[in-house]
Amino acid sequence: MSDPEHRPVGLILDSTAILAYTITELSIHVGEPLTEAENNGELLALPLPCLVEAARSTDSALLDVLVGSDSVIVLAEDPLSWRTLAVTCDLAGRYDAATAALFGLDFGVPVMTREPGRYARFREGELAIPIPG
Amino acid sequence: MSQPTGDVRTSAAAVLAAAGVKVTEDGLARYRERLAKARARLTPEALDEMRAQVGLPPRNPA
Repeated sequence: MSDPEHRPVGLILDSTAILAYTITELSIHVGEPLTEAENNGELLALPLPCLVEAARSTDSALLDVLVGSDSVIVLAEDPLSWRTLAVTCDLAGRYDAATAALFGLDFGVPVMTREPGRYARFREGELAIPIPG
Repeated sequence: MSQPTGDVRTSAAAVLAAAGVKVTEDGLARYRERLAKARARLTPEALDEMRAQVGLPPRNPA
């Protein structure tokens, strides 16, 4: 078992990207980042609200498998950042996407998503890596 | 909704196998290229601009 606290976060997965792992034709788009993260000693971060939102959309046990990965970490937002989150919600339009954006800005890493439009107001979408298709 | 299976940590290979994902070198190379471009866009200045947008301080204040 690795110690995630000593591995840098390399990428944030939002709700749509997390869900993509459970969809046969899209799972490759999470498989590649996961492989790359493991190869580089990095972590994929799943914001807790994004994981919850994904779980509301599927009963796939694959979510448990993803969360159990050595190269995945689930992050909860800091309650003290409530005002920043509120502002980010205005920009992203949804709470879960806002947490993904905020963690992206915290760690200085991109957010993988199937809905790049959610991040369009962050320097015209520069925060997002769209999942193809 | 499925029930949690507990905190059993697994390798990326096990996660890929569970979903039937076969990562190829070509696919990985394409992903690396996309990731590198995305990271290149996130310059310190760009990050600080976006952080300021939501009321966060610069990452590395001078």
